[in-house]
Amino acid sequence: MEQIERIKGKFETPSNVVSRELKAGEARGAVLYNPDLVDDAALRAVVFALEKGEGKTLEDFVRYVLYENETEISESVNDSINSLLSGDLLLCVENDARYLVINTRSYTTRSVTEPPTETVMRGPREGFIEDLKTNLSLLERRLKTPSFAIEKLTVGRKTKTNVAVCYLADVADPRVVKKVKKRLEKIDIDGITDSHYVTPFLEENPLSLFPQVGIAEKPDVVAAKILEGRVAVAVDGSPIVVTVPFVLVEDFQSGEDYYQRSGFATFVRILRYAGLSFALLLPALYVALQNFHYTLIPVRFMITLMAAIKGLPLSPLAETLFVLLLFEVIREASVRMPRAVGMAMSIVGALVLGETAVNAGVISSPAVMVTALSSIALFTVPNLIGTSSVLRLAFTVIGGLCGLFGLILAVLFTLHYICSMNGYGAPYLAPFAPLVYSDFKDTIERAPIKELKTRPRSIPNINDTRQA
Amino acid sequence: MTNTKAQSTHNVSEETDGQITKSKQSTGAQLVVVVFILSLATKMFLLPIYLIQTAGRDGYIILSIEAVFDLVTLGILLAAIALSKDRTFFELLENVIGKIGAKITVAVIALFLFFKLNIAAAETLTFYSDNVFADFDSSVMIIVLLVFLGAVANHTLRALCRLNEFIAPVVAIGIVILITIVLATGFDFANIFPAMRDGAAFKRSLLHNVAWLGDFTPLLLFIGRTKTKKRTAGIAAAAGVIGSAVTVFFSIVMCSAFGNIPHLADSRTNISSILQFSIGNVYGRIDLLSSIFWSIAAFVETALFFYATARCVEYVIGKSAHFKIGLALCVILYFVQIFAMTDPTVFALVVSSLATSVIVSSLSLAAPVLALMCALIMKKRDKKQGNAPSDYSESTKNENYRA
Repeated sequence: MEQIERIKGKFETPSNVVSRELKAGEARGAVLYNPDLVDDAALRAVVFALEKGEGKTLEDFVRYVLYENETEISESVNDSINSLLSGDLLLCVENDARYLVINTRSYTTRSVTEPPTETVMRGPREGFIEDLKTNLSLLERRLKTPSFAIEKLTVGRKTKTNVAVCYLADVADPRVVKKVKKRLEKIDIDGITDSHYVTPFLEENPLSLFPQVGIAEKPDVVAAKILEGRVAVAVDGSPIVVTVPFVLVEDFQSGEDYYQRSGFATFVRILRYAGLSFALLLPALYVALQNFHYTLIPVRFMITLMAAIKGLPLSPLAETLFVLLLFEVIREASVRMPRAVGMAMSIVGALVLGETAVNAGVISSPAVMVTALSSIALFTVPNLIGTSSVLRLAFTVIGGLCGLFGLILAVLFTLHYICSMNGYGAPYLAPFAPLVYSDFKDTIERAPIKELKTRPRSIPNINDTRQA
Repeated sequence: MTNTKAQSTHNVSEETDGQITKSKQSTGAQLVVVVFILSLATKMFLLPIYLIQTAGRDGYIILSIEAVFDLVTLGILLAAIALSKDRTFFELLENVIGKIGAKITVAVIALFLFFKLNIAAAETLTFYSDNVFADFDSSVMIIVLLVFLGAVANHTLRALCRLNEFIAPVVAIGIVILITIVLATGFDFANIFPAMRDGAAFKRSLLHNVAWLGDFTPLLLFIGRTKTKKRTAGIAAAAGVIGSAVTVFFSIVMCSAFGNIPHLADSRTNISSILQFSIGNVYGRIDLLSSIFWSIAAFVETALFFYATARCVEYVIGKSAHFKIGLALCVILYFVQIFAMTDPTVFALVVSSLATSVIVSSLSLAAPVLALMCALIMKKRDKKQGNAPSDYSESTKNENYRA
């Protein structure tokens, strides 16, 4: 049939799609489908219904034969090809140039499991998977309100990936929603395979070292963020959902904080803030104090330190940088390696290599201890590991070369840079700078849910009341 | 019932042509913090030493007089900020004395701010080279400071205000620790008596050490760009009084320690070195660490002066070129610092001359008074015309000056 040939002619390898001529009701017709993407049972049912059904036109089939199926009549060849490539079945009948698109899509997806990056002791264990439909249903189950809006877009010239923008229409700032949609619509790329592909398009400054969008793999976390007035962007094929506006303190919050007693959650949060500060500054302070300001070190500790570093061939800066880089190499290697080998690698790297290097007198045990402490502390805020690792190295170099003078200025420089950042009208360092007192209930402190009566004012929203 | 509002509850974003743009204003809380930082940032490093060297144990009285003078200028500036909510200092000047007059005035203020910037930078470098480092190469280390200052010039006033807001608690912690050490170790304040025994020395010192006046001058840039509430000015004034009281308190400590032996006071003499004798080094140099915390305020004050100078230069030139002007100022600052200000003799000569005193004291007062007068005149004009800022849009052809 001419309509079939028209579509097949667009394919580089027409064998990708299969066409079958059939008697559809009282008309002569043909179906076209991609055998790799269609659901066999659905295909059989549709063909059976068509052959047994009555009718001559596509409208008849929609009305009387395929009333149970999701169908759409398309006049565009390109749209029909897109549907075909998504697993839909195309039906055409003689003397009609149009196509009937019938949903027969088949998905092979993994089950909804707990994401490995956001494991919890208490709280929901569901995680997003690579199927957009499932991910949206997980959100819809949590946000049962007509104001929960899901707007779908297609991104990628070749991948035609479905992207969903989700928000609460009566909470999210319409300007934020508009900006997110505008930025997504502007994307002109051959394809996206994961939500991380759209992230740079959503960020104000993609070159920045600091993340400017929130990422989550758990529907309860994303639902909570949407409830606060944020906009979520879900991408088909990705288990990670992106949220904007984003403020830095979000990285210090964990979904589990809200399932723990508030006192304990507050304690854990303080640990996170202290941990990250410790991780960033400890090696730099160690090097700066040893190189320039040994008078600042308490005398007793100084005596112990002097004994440990006596006879070392490397300067404090070189020694610390060596240990830090060694740690980064071991971390990178163990992440990429198979799990079983990775474990052995960590043991060899951390224990054997570290111990041997200290015994050989190449590095000192205080340097290993400082790096180990700093590295453990780094993992208290997992979302910032990349940023923190780079900053830690930079601070260490500056501390080693310019002492506390350089270190203070480097920290001020970084803070000033963060202070200058704004995304979607949300100051990056809020609620610390600018001070937003009402948001402190859920920043360092995690006040009982009963007291969290307003939505965060650090991010734009049109309804800040959560509890009456 | 939920409280659904038609407008966004968020106060930092504005919509223009469907885009979310950023408000360039500072908040009232930020103004308070900036005033606090400015009031105590640099008066504790070199000024008390000069005062002790010239006025002996009465140095703290001179510092108190200077603090009061600065508080008066602060009051005038706060009044101007409260009066002119929409017009910036540059716009006020343009409206009242015309564009050319405004440019000449701003050029003079820019020179004054640059002078103050040099004093702040020199003080910070001296503190670190003489107290924190055994070997400090100013010509290299200043580059790190210049990188920070360059970054400040490239960003908005709002970013700088937020930085102030963020670091203020650290500075406050440093000060509280130092006060605690002073009080806990039973410091003897008896040495400041009897007061005013050498009237001639007192007068000479008072006339020759006024280069530290005018610390609040960068607040000129807050005019028309600060979201003030009814109580903001009062709280900011209180913050200034507290900051000044802290400096006076520590100057009393220093005067009572060195007032009778002024010849021993040099650039290594500061509150940290005095307190070290009280607490020893068993727990590390908590005193020095606290002073270093305090020095963060000096870095930020330097940044404020640099930012204010850069924006004034931009206005005078008539071009919004943050990076180029920032870079040019960094280069000039580098050479001035290296070839003049880091030399103690040249620095002393610059800050102690009578000409400096006359110029600095005049400009410290004149700039705020001018701002207040312009604000009053414009308010009167607006009242006469019966509307809110009338020629506001006309006078702000280049919106970048507001950034």
